[in-house]
Amino acid sequence: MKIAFQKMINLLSAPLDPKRFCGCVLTVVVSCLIGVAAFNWIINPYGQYCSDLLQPIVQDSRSEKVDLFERLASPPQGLILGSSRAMKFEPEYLQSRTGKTFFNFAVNHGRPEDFLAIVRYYRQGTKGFPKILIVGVDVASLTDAVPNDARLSAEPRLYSLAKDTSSWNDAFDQFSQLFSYQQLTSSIASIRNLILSKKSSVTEQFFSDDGVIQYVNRQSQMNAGTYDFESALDFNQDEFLLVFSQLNKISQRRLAYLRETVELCRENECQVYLFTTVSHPRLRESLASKTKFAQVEAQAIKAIRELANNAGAIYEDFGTVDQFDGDPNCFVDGIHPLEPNTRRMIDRLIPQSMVGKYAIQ
Amino acid sequence: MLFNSYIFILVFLPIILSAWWLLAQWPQIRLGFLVTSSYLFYGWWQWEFTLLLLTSTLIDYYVGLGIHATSSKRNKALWLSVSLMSNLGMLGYFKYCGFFAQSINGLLDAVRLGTPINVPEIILPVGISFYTFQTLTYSIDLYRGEVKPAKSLMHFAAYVSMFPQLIAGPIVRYSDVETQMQELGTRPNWTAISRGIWFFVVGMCQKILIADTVANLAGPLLAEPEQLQLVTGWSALLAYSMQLYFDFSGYSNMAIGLGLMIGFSFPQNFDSPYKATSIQSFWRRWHMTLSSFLRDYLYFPLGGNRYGKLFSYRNLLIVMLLGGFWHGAGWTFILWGLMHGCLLVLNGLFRDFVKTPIPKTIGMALTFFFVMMGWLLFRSTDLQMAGHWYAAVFFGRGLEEDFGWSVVKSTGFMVTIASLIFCWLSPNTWNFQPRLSLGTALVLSALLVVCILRFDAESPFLYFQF
Repeated sequence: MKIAFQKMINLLSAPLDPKRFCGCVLTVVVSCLIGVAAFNWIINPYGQYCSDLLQPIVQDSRSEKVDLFERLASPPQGLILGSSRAMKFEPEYLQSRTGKTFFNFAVNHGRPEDFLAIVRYYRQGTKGFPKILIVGVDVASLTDAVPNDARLSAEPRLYSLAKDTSSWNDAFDQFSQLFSYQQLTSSIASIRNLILSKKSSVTEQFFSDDGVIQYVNRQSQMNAGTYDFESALDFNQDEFLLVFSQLNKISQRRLAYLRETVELCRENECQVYLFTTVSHPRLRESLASKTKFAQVEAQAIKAIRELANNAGAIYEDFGTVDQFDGDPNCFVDGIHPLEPNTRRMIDRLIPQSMVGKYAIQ
Repeated sequence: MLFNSYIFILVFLPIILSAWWLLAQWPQIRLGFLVTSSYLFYGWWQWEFTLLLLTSTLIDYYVGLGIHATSSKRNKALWLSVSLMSNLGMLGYFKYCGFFAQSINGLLDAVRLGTPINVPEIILPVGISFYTFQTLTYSIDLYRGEVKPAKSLMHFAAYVSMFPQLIAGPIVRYSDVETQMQELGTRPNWTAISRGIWFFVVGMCQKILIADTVANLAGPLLAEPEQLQLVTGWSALLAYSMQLYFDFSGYSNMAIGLGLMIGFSFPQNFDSPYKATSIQSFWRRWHMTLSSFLRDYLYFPLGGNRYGKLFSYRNLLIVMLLGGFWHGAGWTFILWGLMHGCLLVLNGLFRDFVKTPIPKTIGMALTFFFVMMGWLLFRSTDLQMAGHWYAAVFFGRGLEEDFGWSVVKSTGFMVTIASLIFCWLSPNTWNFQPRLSLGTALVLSALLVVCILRFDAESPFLYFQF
């Protein structure tokens, strides 16, 4: 043992000529990086790549929603699109107001390219168009600060309809994430979960058949009054401060996808409702004081309003709770409203006068 | 493009290094390739600004030819004034226009005349302060007859745009690379490349493992300066002092390392500045290429110390004031420069009138204290923030309820203290000659891989904003 150790020390300390030294550094670095990338690709902790050996540690909402949609007995007459911030919009409540069936197709980090892919997917699957489209647009999703969500490219049923929306940058971003520390730690966490047979966070929340998200633990904690809202809010603050600290303008590319989605629907007699998603007043305050959030939000509102006017869509800005008589106490965290708030948004978006219109049809 | 980005390390650098050595037999093509890739590197951020780089290059190249062609002193001065006006004009427009408009508005508003000037929102092209200075040194050196004109436009464009040092220095003079560019090696110099790897990995670790970690402490604390108290104020100050040093020194080391990998030797930019035992010594060790620029192109032309002590002190004040202003268009930078000018004058007075030398340790502690006081101004976005922060560090806002324990126990604080001790005790990167062995190769490779894994948290270098 001692001799082997001594041999190893001698080997490590033996002088190398500069050329061999450089070759050695290059070989080790390249080998390590390939190893890390291969490991992350195989484990695929975020469901970004085609490997499906282990269950992703985050919710793969695109695939789940496509599966749910395909299981529906008949195509819904209306769709709800957006990010996780629109996942609490209830089809049942919308049906009670409009008389039409709905499906909540909001996906995690839903961006305009996702909306376009989903509408095309609906057309492809049903050979028709929905009658009503409700789209919740996050201000951040209209900027270039957030890349295409790699989970879109990992879902072939949507990605095949969205290929023209992904750029070289997105593809490289997805590739480079194979080398990231965050992905590596998540892959290790995935393996640990497998070894310890621990349930991943995916089981903490699930989608009901109509696509609405259900929070298992959080809901029971809220009912028991033990839910730690402050920590959830802090988490959003850190995340959004980072996002908004890097941007100062909206993305024309993403705005074009949104326009294409709206125009495609309008050409096929689908009424489109657009709204900007809500943030908790304290998160808004923090973002406004430390970033250019207010400036970017104003640009986004102006652009969506123009787009809605030109394409014959209806637009409401729900950025603050005041705009729909919302309740600041009805949030899961800084960005996810609960049912009482989403219902008020629906009431504002489709007022009583419009209810009659849909009921007659 | 950032050195600490995936696109640089996985795509740009491997292509550049391979092509650079593969094209070794064709020097002109090789230089053309270096220029093209450097423009790509620069334009990755915003391609429109490459036109600015090109303009500055073309003007100074032809000004250089003009200066060299004429023997008349007056005509040389005329040519030089073209270079001065274009470079300083460009810098003035992009960097200082908004500041002057804001200051005039502030002044008029104070005497109730409103704010009549529309403050322009001009994006500052990254690295403009550095490359305009570089092109200026070329024209001035030619005017002084200290260098010969560049062999060709390609040689000059390669000198100005060379990607390792383009954005944040070291400020390289044409005389530093003139010979190197004409005698480019046709075969890789593995000794220089291995030294380059050493510099690059050290610089990367300085940036990713130290500067970015302590930034996690300083950033959130300084986001709310009005909340700072004694421990948080000092923690933020110490952390920022470490962040700035390791960030900038890290960039310089990476630039030097990359330079060595393609066969160029750039001047040293940092010589363990926090070990300085006086302010004068600090400026000989911090951003050395800027200090020597200010000395050779500003302090000496102003008269240096040729006309007695009083004039030399006046010159020091002017040079440091302008040096501060070069760093940023804001009153805090001007005050920071002025403060260092005053400290240099006091340093001079002390040296002249008090003959007893200060013990080294006390000198080092005092210097570090005053440097930190300066960094406080340097980091503050406005005078109000500086006021809050000074009040906090000098007991004006009391002690935290938990005696600052929540900050002191954080990783950022531990790394700050460890890096401070490291700064004082470790040898400078330039003086350390690593033994080329398998062990060293494995350690450097492991450190580089760890750094690459951390590229997911993108963090630009602090000096890019200057």
